[in-house]
Amino acid sequence: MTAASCGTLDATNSTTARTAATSGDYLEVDPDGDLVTRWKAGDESAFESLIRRHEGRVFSLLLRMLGNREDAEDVAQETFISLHRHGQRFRHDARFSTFIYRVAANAALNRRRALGRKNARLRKLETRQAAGDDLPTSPRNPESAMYGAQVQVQVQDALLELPPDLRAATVLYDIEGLSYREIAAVLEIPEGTVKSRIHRARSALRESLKGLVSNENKGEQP
Amino acid sequence: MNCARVRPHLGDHMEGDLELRLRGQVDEHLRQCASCATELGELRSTVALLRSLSAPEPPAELASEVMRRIRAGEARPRRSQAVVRYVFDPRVVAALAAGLAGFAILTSIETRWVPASGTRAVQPSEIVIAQQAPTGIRQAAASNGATVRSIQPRLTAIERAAANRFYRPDPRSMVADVYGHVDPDLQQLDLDGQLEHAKADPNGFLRQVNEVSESERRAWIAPLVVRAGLRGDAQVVARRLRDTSHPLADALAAEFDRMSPNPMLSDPIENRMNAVGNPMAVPVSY
Repeated sequence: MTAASCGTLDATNSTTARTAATSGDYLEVDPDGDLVTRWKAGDESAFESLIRRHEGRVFSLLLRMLGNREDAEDVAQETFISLHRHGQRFRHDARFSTFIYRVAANAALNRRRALGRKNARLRKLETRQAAGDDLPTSPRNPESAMYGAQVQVQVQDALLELPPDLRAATVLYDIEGLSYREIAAVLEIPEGTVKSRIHRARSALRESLKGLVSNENKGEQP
Repeated sequence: MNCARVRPHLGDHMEGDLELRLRGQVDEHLRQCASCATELGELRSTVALLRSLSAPEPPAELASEVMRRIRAGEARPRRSQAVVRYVFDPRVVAALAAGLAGFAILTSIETRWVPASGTRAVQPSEIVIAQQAPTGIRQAAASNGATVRSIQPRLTAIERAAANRFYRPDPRSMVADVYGHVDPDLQQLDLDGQLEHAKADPNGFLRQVNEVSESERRAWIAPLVVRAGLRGDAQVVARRLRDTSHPLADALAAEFDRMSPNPMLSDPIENRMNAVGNPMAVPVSY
């Protein structure tokens, strides 16, 4: 399952999804509208369907925000339980998926505050070991599967080094494929702030991943 | 255009969001400036790496486990979580102490609203809420059958000020409460434990602090500083932080230094209030 295919944005990849979402019509039809209506009328199976429809995207967001599956699963469960508890507050003034992202992103930010990232470094080490132990400081054989896994860990580590507000913005934009406007609605900040956070996040990531990006970039033209 | 004017536009250039004339100017600069061209290339590579992250499969049992917990009643509103943090009345303390064997268990009830093994649940009618508690908490408590009244008639002005700061809700909880949900982890913040950590491993503590945003840092540090002031070791914490070479050390140490060794604050306030039998002495934690 890809991040885009399991969500409600009717597109097959994040770029197309972003284009559709910025075209000004994304509030017209909420793909979750029927399920939400049934759920509010008391149909619990509709809520389960909503979970299954969104669990992929929610889990992906939380994993990128928190850095390990255990925390991501805990917070994903809390997110959906919180949604069930407070779903009556959903006013249909945005897509239901935006509402879910908002709850999930807040839950992730709160979880990181609560933990104070005290175990983050230990978990990073565990993740590294699971991916094949020591990470390269410069690329080895870019064709190897092991190298690919190590790069993924390195990128995830770099994400975890970002301040959470920058991380949330860049994960939602660059990985989950939301538009600036959707992210502004999810994080409840102005679109200008969204763009600024994404810019700062990318600059910081570029520094963190210097060894990778400078090699990949040889011969780059404008 | 020079580099300083071009660089802020590289992100929009990459996204194709620049208007035509500006894009032409940026392109012109990029043809002449290897440094900016390299930066643009590296930004592109960075974004490509982010987009190459594989989409994780969610746990197979996620939906069924959520539905199981919902059917077990976990989705019911739990306003009582926040309410119990304002239990100050000695009658409540006595009732709790009889069945719950001390503050440690009280803390677990704060977050779970579930009695520990061999104890009983505390009913909302047994709770007395401080008049000084935030309006939302008082209203939630009253709607659950709790009593609201003023409970600190014998505190001096300075003790009231200190106590109010000490018992002021953790601002992070207020943030979490946007959705009426208080993350149990937030209420279990161990201020004393964090202060001990700051003293024992100031570098590690500063690294953690450095990993959160500015606003989060303020919300995190404020109750710690107040707590250190009440414990009387704020200056010790400040010294330990300054012993490091961490870039945040001085700024954070200055926060702790502001808690001057005022005898009214450094004398543990719980002891002072215990001495006059004041119910505010109940050490409700965050």
